[in-house]
Amino acid sequence: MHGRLKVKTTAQQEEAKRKEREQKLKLYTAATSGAFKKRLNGEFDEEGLKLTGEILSVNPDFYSLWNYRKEIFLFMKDNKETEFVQKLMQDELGFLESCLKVNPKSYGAWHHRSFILENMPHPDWERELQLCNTFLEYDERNFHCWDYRRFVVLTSDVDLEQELAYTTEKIQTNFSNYSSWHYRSKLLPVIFPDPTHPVRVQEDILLQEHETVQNAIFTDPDDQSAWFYHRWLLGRGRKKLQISCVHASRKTNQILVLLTNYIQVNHGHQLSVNINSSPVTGEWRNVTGTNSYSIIWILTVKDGFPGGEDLSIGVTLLTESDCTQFSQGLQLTQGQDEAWTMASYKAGTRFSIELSAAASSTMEKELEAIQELHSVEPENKWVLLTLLYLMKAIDPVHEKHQDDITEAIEKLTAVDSKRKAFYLDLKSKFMMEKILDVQDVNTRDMTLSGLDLTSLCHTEWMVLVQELDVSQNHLTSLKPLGNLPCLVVLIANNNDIDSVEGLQHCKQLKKLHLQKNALRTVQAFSTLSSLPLEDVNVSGNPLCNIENYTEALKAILPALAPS
Amino acid sequence: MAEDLPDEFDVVVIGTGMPESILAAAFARIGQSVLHIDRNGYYSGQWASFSLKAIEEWVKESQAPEEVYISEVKTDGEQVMLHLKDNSYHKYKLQFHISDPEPELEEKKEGVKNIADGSQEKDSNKIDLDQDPGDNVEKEKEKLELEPESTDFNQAQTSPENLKDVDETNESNENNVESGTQNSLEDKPPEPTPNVDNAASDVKDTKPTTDKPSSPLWTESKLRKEWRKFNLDLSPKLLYCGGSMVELLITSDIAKYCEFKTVSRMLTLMDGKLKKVPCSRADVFSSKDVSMIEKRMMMKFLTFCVDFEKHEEDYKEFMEKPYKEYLEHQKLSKNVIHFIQHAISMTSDSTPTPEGLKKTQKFLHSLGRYGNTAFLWPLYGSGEMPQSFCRMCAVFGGVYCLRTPAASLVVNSDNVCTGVVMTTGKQIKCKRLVMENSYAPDSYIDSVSNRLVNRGILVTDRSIMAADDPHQLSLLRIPDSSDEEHPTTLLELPAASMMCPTGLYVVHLTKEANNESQSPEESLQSVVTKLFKDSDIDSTSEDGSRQIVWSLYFQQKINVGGQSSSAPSNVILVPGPGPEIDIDHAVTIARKIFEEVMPGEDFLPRPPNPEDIIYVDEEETQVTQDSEKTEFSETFQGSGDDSSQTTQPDSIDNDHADQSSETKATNGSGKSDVPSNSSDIQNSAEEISESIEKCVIEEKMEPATS
Repeated sequence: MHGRLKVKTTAQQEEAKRKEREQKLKLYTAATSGAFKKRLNGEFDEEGLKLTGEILSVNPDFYSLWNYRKEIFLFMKDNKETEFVQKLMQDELGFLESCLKVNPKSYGAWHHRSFILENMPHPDWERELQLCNTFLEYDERNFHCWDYRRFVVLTSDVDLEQELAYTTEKIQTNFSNYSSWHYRSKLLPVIFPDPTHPVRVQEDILLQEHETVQNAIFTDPDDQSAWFYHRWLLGRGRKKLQISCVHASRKTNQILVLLTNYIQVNHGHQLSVNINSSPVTGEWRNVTGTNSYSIIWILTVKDGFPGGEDLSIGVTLLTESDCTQFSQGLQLTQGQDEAWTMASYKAGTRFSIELSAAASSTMEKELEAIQELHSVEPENKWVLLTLLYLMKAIDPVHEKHQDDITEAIEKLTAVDSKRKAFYLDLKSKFMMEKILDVQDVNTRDMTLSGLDLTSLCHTEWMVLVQELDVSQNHLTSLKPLGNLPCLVVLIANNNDIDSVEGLQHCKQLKKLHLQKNALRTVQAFSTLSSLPLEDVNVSGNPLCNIENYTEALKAILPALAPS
Repeated sequence: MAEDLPDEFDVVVIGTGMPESILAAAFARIGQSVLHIDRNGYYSGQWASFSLKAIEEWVKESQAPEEVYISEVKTDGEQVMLHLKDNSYHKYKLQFHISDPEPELEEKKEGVKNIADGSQEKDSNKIDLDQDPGDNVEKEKEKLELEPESTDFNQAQTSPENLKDVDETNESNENNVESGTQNSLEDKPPEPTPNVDNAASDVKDTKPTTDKPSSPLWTESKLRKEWRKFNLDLSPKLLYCGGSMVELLITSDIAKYCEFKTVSRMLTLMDGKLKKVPCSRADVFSSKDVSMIEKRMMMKFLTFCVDFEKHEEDYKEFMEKPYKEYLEHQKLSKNVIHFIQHAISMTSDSTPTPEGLKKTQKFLHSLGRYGNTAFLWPLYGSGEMPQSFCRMCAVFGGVYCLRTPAASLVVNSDNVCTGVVMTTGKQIKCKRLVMENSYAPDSYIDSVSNRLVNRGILVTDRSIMAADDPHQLSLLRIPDSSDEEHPTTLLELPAASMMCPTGLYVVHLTKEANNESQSPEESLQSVVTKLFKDSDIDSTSEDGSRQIVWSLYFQQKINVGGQSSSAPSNVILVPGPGPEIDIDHAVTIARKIFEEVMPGEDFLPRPPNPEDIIYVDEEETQVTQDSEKTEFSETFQGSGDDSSQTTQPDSIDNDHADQSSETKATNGSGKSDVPSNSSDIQNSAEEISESIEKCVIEEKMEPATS
């Protein structure tokens, strides 16, 4: 043979490719329209499977076709013999495997697999676990497969300790694996529950986990996944759901309840009120007047509190999932306008809960290790941030570490300037925690001026406050003050506030001083028109440049005293 | 067959070792006509991998005196005689350390059968001829056990160190040492003994250590029976995953002819114990041998090494100082320095800092590409590597003749080589000649640059460090306290790397020697004692007794490239394999030579895709796409069927090797004839690296892009 060696030109190649693509598209559209037509006609047969199969094997992300297939399988399940269905589904699993080879991260294919396994007469869970192993071998970070694995483990009877060992193995090959760490955080509390605490993990196991994760952060302190797990280890303490405060006011005819966690009333939790042993009806609302998740709930007593007698008010919180009840009562005597009970806290414990699950010796050891790491990695933001959290957790009222905390935050804003605002907010948060922690819970008058605050946090703990001064800070928003339904006087001069959003929920607000802020329009106040505002001072704001702004403001706020 | 060869070639390449084969392929690839010959009946010369039988044959043949060939051919110029035999190897010592039990009644039958097998081995030879050319000669044991360096052996026996070893080893080993043969207590006549498949009870008295049911029993005859499964390298070579060989394999598409396994662990000896070296991020994370803060310091330093050139101020002061001092200056702990110096960078105490940094960097660039360590091992032995290049050469028209010694070079009065004369008398003209050093006349070689390498090949029945996965491929470098510059490199290859039967390991020891006074066995003795006689060495193993079942020691003399000025200018000498463990040096040499003699030409560019090749019928001048692409990809098959056969692809003759210019003429489309746009190259590079990966870590699925 005397063939001469030639090389195809790029133009030739392109032409060939174009033709191929054209052909493909033709087949694809034909099959698609065929499948949709069948579905419309309610034809749930094997031909439908074949038709959709052709398309899905090239594009496994065609949701509608998966849905059609699901309909076919459900139809078959109801109308055919079990053996036939089993066989058909068996084939489907094989088909799915080939689809997943095309795209191992196809949502549709993985979901469909779950569907098949759930509907299969005789599912082989062992095999499914093997499949997960194989796919995670190819890509240990395929979270679709991790999800599916958790589904398999949940449904079948798999030894959880083996699963834990599996995550260990995966972490050892590559610890930049969120899925694997996450799975661990789900497994540990189940396998090694702390007998003394519902959501905790045994202390000795925790120590082991700390060591593992420390190995990771020392090996690569820039890897987020390990830090996130570290954070979980330190901070998986959760507050027990309780009632912290009940407040009743004859003036507003309202009963206010402050909880320790966010809930949604009538969705897993119930709140009920008795006044002198007779139940009170009415709808619970949060401070914004809706029924979405909140930590503060308010019930307006429809017909007002019965007058002329001492009232004994009882509030009960029922958690439906475990049928636990928590009750809190208070007395509202005849002459009282308002009354409240507030759970008392030991100073320094109110906020530490967030990071306090581990024994303090563990925390001290942890701090030492991170400080060591800090000495070799002085610029690493993850190290600094963790150091910050640890110091705060060990020393909630900032006695020992005050300077270190300030220094760490300053350093963080410098090394990670993109997140400067986050660090400043964190600083504000720490500052407020420090103040609120030692503050008398029953106080009605608070001053938070000149603290360099950029944001207000934990305002739910200020639920009883009537007079508040937040002047001389860097606040831009007053939204968190919506949690202060008792607020009557607010002084917020010398900030960067550009909106009064949030204050509309402070139904008692009479005096509002916002001098030297960033308010631009009078219209911003329109939301406050229903408030009994008598004294509003907005001098030194950009809106003062508007002609007749005082008149405009008076028009919006009718209760304003003539000045 | 050599008589049928054309009378003239552009390039004659003598020797099928690594640099020669790369050059042969590179010349053929740019359209030069290449004749590639080897005096041996097997490929790869000093780089070859042998079966158990073939290596015995090699030992025997290497010791035969060199024949003298007297040329009676008349030539135009002066004839300069070449070496017909490789004189690089000396001081062989081949031993079976296990013996066969006394044949018993029930085994008699089998014994007879085995002897019959032995005489009829021609059948089996056919299968493996390319590797075992000498197998048709029946084995004569006495000759194989020949020990030319018996004086050395006696020295070894009397040295106190050795005596101590003898005490520690089991009885049969002791006997081996004393008798100097493979025979055991029974003092059997040195003849092939009957094969025993399962002789636990019989062996008990001779091998007291092997009565544990878990350890397989190896006998000499059992080993011999499995001779085909051995691939024993004369000079084992690893590939840096990010090294120049891997790059070349990918860019030249030669990777499709190769298969690899990753080195799965780097070991080191620390405080008398074997430890796994944490080299990758995952290793450092899970290592128990380094403390938390050491992990950080180590990772920090290694990260710095990845692009150390950018931070010159950090090591400026140490430019002239040893790397070790620099490491100490970095406040790294003793352990970490040990890991970096002896395993990761593989440097000595005197290695200068810039070189140490460079070596560390090379290692790091190779990490994580195909596995958790930086090295690849060619399946079936590093002898496969030169053959892959020969295959590419043949695809582009190179002509191959094994067992074809060239007798002399013809050199004209201007000291230019005009051709070669074969031992058959056939003359072949050439414009250029490439030749391995060991072929070259002594006068062409600058003898100053001779180096000695002591090599040991051991077959053992257990890994030096037990692990859950018995298929660990381990690399270990052991410094020599008395000779700091010349550490011993140890490579342990499991059966899974296609080097030996299941259950055995092949251990390669390589150590450069200072002088000839020590025998290879002596110079490697301390390492062998430490690793195979000291049961404490591997803390992970419950049963410390590893056994060497077979060993071969020899010394290789290599000339590291010095070509004397008396050699003709168009003769290029290339060196044999040196003591270094990686293969990249051969690529460097070949590339340098090619760029010098063929300036401006591409060095092994990627060949066109078989699918993109169109065959044009010359008679009809009609473009047709030939569906039989097999012509192109399989022309070189079976080159080893008959060792002296010339293999010439019939579809591509020399004219057509210059295909790119021809395409240009026919298509008139200028420059885009060859698929050289970047995406094509990228695609193909991906394919190739994928194909490498495939061999290494099964079929790896493409990471999804979403």
